[in-house]
Amino acid sequence: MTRSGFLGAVIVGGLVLVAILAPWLAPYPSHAGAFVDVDLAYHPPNADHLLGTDGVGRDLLSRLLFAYRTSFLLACVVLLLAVPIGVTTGLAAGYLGGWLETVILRTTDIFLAVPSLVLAMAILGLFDPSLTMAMVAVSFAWWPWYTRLVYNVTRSIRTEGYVEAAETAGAGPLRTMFGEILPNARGPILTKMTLDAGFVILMGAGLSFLGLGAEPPTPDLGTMVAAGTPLLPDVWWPTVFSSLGIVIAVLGFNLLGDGIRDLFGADESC
Amino acid sequence: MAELLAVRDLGKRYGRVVALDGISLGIAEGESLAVVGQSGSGKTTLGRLVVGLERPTAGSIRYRDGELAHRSRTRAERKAIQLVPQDPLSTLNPSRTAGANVALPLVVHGLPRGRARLVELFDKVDLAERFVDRFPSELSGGQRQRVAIARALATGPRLIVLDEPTSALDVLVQARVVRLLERLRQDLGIAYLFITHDLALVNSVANRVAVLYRGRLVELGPTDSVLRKPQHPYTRRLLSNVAVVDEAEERLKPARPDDEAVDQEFA
Repeated sequence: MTRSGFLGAVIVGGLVLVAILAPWLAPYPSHAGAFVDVDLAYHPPNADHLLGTDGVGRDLLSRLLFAYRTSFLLACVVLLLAVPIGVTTGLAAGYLGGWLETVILRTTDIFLAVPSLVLAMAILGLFDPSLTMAMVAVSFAWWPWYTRLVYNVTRSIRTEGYVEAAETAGAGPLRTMFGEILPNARGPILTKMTLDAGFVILMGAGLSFLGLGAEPPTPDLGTMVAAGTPLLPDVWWPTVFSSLGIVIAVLGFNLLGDGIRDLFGADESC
Repeated sequence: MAELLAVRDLGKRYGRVVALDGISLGIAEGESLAVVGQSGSGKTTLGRLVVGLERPTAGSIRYRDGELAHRSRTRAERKAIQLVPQDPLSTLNPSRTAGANVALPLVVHGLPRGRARLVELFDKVDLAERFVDRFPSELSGGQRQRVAIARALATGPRLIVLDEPTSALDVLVQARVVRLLERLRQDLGIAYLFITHDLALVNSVANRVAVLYRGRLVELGPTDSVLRKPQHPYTRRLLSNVAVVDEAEERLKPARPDDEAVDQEFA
C-alpha cells in the first residue's frame, strides 16, 4: 500500500478506536449527554478542558470523541443500506439487460439528476428530522451511484471467457452474477465505499448543521459546528475544533480509498 | 460414424446485420471439425450458437435426437457440450483458484467435486496437483488454457467447442496444447468444434474443415483435400496468406524435443 494510503488507514483506524473507546477516552463522559454547568460555559482551551467548553459548559473534547460515534454509525448504516441495493440493481441491469436495464438505469438517472444533498433535504422535509430519518434519506440518495458503478463493471466483465464458460456449464443467472461477476468487482466497490464513507460523514454533518439530522443533546460534528458559528470570531474553539474533526475524518477516508484503489490496481473510474 | 451434432440452415441476425446465413454441417462422434475464416466470417457466432450462449434466428441445431435451437437446454445437454473460451487472460475467474474454476461445472451439476476428482482432472491435462491451489495470475498462458480444458472436461462432455484455444500462445506452447487435445480426443472419444483462423494449425488438429466467408459456408471437406485442392477462391486466398506450411516447418512443429520435461522443470 502507498504511504498516503497507509496514513489514511492509520487515521481511519484511529478514529474507529476513538469512537469505540469514547466512554473510556473522554475526560468527561457525562458531557456527551444533556449535562449543564453554566459556570463553565465558553471556557477557552485550558488544562482541564483541552479544547475548551461549549455554551452550556460541556467539555468539547469529550463531545468530539462521542460525535465520531454518530458519524460512523451514519456512515455504516448508509453504506449497509445503499451498497446492497446498488450492487443488486447494478448486477441485474448489467447482466440481465432488456427492459429491466432500461427501467433501472432511467430510475438512477432521475436520482442522479438531483444533487444528493438536495435530494436528502427534500426527503427529510417530508418527515420529522432525526438521525434515523437522515440515515434513510442519505441512503435513498446514495444507492444509484453504486448501481451505476456495478452496472459499468458488470458490462465489462460479462463477456469475459470465465463468465461464458460458467454459462455454458449451466450456471444460472444468480450464480453467474454473484459468484462469477461480483467477486471481480470488489476492487472498485470497496474503493468507492471507503471514499463514500468520508462523503457520507460530510453530508450527515451538513444535514445536522442545517438542523435536519442528529438532535441535541446527541453529540454530532454538524450540530457542534452550527452551535459555534454565531459566536465567531471571539468564541472560535467550538467551530474550529469540530470542523477540524470533520476534515480529519474525510481526509482519512479519502487517503485510504486512494490506497485501496492502488492496491486493487483499479483505474480512476471510481 | 454416428452423427453427434447436426446443424441445418442455421442463421443468426443482429438487427440488420447477418452474422450467419444458411449454415449446414454435421459433427460425428469423436470427430474434430475445424471452422476457419477471417474475423467477421461468423465462426465465433457459430460456436456461441452451438454451446447455447445465444439462440439462432433461423435453422436447427440437433444434438443426438434433441432439437436445441429454440429452447433452453436440459442438464444432460449442457453437460454434453462444453466451451473452451478464447483469451487465456480471461478464461479463468481471477478471484478463484484454478481448482475452484474447474470445480464450478461440478458444483452446478451436483457432481462429486472432492480434491481427488480435481487432481484427476488436472492430471488429464498434464498439470500436477500443486496447480490446483494456484490462482490464475500465477499460471502461464499455456497452463491457464489447460486448466480451461480441464474445466471443459469436468462434466464428461461429448463435444467441446474450442474458440481459438491457441491463438494467444507462442508456437512451442501451442504445439503442446494441440498434442494434448489430440490425445484427449483419442482417449475419451470427444468431438471438437475447433474454431480458428490459423490454417497452419488445422492440418494437425482437424479431420474435416469448414470454411466460412461472410457468414456463409463456402467449403466443407476432409482436411487434406481442402488444404491441398481448395475448390473455392476464398479458401485459396486464405491459404495463400498462410505464412508457413512447407513440409520442413510442418515436421519441425510437433517434433520439438522434450519440451514437456523443460516445462515441468520450470513449472
